[in-house]
Amino acid sequence: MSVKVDVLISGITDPKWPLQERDLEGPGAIGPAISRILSPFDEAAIECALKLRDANKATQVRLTVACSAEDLGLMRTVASFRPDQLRGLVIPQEFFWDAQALSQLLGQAIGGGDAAADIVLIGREFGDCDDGAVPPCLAEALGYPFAGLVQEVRIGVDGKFLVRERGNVRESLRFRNQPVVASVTNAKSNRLRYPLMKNVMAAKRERMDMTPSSTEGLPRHRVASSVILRRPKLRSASACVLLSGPDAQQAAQFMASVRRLLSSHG
Amino acid sequence: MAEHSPEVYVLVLPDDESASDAHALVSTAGRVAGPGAVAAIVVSSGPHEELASQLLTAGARCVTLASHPSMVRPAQTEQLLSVLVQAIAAVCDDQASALFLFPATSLGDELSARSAARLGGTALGRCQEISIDQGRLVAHRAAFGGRVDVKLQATGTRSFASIRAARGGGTAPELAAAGPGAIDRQRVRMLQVPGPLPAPMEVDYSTDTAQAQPLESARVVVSGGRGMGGPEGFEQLRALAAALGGVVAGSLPAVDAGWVPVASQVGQSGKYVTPCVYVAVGISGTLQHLAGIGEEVPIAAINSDPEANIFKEAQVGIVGDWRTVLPLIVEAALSGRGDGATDSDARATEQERT
Repeated sequence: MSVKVDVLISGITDPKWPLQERDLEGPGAIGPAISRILSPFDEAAIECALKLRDANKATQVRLTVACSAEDLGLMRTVASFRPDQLRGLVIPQEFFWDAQALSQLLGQAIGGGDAAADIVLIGREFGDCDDGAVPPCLAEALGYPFAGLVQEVRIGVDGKFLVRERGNVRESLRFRNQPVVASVTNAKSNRLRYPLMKNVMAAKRERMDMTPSSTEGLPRHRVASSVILRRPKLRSASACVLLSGPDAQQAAQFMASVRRLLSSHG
Repeated sequence: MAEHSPEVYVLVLPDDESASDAHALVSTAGRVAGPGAVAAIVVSSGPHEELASQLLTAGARCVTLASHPSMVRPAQTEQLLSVLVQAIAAVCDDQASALFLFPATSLGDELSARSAARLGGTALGRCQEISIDQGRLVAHRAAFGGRVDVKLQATGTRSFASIRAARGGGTAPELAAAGPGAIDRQRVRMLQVPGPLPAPMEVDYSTDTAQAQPLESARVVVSGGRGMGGPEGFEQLRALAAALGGVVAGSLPAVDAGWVPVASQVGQSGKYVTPCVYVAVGISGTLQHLAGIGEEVPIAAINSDPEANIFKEAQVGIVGDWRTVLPLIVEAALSGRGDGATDSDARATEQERT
């Protein structure tokens, strides 16, 4: 049974890379020199797709990376997992602030009709500028049903099964014939595997397919009018009290402090 | 550009985890719209007259109870969305500028975005603050893992956002005590939207054996991170949580490793908690994790790295190996030791970080 799986990758700025004022090139833009990596949710989506291919060799895994033209490092990271198809979709930075416009660009890129995927996997948060609006907007743009916060995916002759947790309840959603968009969240079951070293080396030599997105005439819904580097706000007016002394004494004082905090904030 | 301030609507989802804070969401919306200017729309498969009473007492000017006789239970998102969209079309003037506020939960976030897409509005996402500037909506959000503040402006007349309910405005029991007799029937509208609804999804439900305790209402949260190194330490955290009457949670790496359930994840992409105290063990204190802890919540931390960011945020801390100190802390918690230690005792041997 041939199965097509589309995975949309956003990447994020490396959290270990400290942002400086000079990195903010203007409203809506973050400088291209920033190191970008896969987010935990990109990784989870990729692993779900690779697991589907492990289970059925007739599965095609098609990865699309929403990026800037300079994002070759991220592209090569993704390429090392040997997808059946890989392309970079070059999207102007300001579109990342507009979930609906971005979703329409992504939807146009992965297309429909005969080439339509059986399932579209996307991280629950799509990049640095999204907190969960892009995946459901993508489902609306494509006209597909949506399943959010999925942890596992299985595809068989009896349908597509998407597993997620809602509090204490584990849900297994079944979709039969229609394509579906699933946002993927991190879980132990979808931790991304390590790529083979030979594939990492091959990816370094590979020519990357970077496709500019067509934004002409695309309606805009929101724009970023200002982007400001946040100054950390201290939780407490006083500095942290670091305990010292014998371990047992520290433990007793730690508990005393916890109980004091409970009584004053409870 | 909108010439008049937008109408503000709060969407209440009784089937969602946010249901107990619905009145607080009305209060939060009132700070955007002004007192008495918020309308509430309740979307559910069942009757909720008592909830309507609470919402009116919390400051809603009117409440619409929207439902459909064919809605399945437990409620499914596709059907909730269909009822919601129809209810908005029935209640709101499509020419008027409007803001629709949803609870900041995974369900609220999804319904907010999909409603915006279906109704031709603007999906503002999860906002920390919303204001109205010369009749135009401005949303304040964090981005880039909490390192950047961004101000977004909507370009259309209808905006959809999710927002965390601010504390205050009375608790649900206090509002319920105001009595159902206070309902002004003219301010409550029953709306059965016409069908058809989407067919119910095929869903199998099972209860997870590794039960996650509700974090949002916990008085104490004891949380473990990557520094725990494995699941064994979480037994100690569970013992400490039990001694303090709290619950156990974890950071994203701990969930990735399978040491805690997904539902116990605290952080930007997990739960937002506001306990009386948050005990962080083996957690470095990234912005993404701290985004899940209320700003007023005091933190007590244990970490082997003296430079860990968590110590910039905590009120009290131990720099050390949790394997050594945590068993002693659990013992102190269980035996009541530490009750006699006073602040002056603690401060006599402390060192302050500058």
